[in-house]
Amino acid sequence: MSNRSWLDRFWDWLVSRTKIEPFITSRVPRHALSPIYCLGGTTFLLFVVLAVTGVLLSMYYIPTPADAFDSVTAITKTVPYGWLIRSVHFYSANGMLILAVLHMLRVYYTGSYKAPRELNWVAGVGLGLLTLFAGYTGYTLRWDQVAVGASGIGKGIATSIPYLGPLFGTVLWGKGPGDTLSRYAGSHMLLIPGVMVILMAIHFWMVKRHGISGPL
Amino acid sequence: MRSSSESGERTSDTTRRSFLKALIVFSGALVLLPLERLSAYLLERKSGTASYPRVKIVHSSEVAAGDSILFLYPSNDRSAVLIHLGSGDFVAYDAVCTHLGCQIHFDKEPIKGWENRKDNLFCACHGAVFDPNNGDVVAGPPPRPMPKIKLEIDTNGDIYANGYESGLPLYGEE
Repeated sequence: MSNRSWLDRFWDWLVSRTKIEPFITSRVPRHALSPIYCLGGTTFLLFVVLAVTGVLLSMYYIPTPADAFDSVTAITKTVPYGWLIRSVHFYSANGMLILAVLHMLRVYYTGSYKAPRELNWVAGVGLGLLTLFAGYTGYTLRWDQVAVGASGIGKGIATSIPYLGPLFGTVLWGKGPGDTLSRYAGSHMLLIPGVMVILMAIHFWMVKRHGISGPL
Repeated sequence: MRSSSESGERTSDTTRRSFLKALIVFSGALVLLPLERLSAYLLERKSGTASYPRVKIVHSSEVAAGDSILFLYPSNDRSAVLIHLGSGDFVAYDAVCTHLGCQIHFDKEPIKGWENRKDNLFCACHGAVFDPNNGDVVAGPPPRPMPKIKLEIDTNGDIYANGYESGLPLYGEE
């Protein structure tokens, strides 16, 4: 033991105190050692990237109709590396949508949604829808002409739902134009990611409980 | 005691393990080192107007009162308009309409069919009209006034553009 480095001894201490061993040494069946089985994990990785860059963007973004566009422009043009943070956020968001769909296709084609994993499929569909909503609300936060138009289209779709439509419209848009951007910002930064974290915890916990589905 | 073959495996295993450790330390450093530069995102802030150049537009005698010229500012792919007002003052604006990015004009002779728009900054795409005195929206759909360019006239009478007095050339730049 004397020739073990301080890094090794620190690592042993960390493992013994955190009881992290079962999480980092869990065994994966051979058929799952394939890139297509990494799509869900990569989607989650991009969620983490989006959370980090999103927090950084929120340091400069101002969610009011008068200042939103100017603050986005300031992030892109005058804040050091603001263009980088914003680009990483943008491309990660697009990548997350693509990877989530590919992950869904993998689960579908390998039959991994079948019993006893139906509820994890349901949780996954919820996460997919929330990813879409996050993309939609994020795209309106620039509050340029395109974003204002997009929020109008969103309201049109929401209010066209029978019976509940007007309620959804009010919830999404508020009572006046000043409410709208605040509600989109609150949904994009707090509500949607918050619910997603809870659903992801359930999603991953169920994967642990059921294990990886069998080979084709 | 281990057999020789086992200890042989163990040696290669140890090599692989130390290689992986070096790899982890190396990739960790690749992640952490840029953070020193990236910290500027939270610690420093460039001023918004410092990045615009000072550019000579034209000599003041070359634009008659009530007339205008188009020039390129702040880069060679963006048009701007210099107006010699009836009052004798020079003003200049970004010439990309804040509505949907068409080029705006200041026309001495009115465009046929838009005679009532004479002596205004006018965008032909959706009929937007801006006040040439301050760039404010007079009519039409634009959400913001035209960005006003800061002008400097030196002792020789040369007119220079130097940044923006109000607004920023946002359309097409987001």
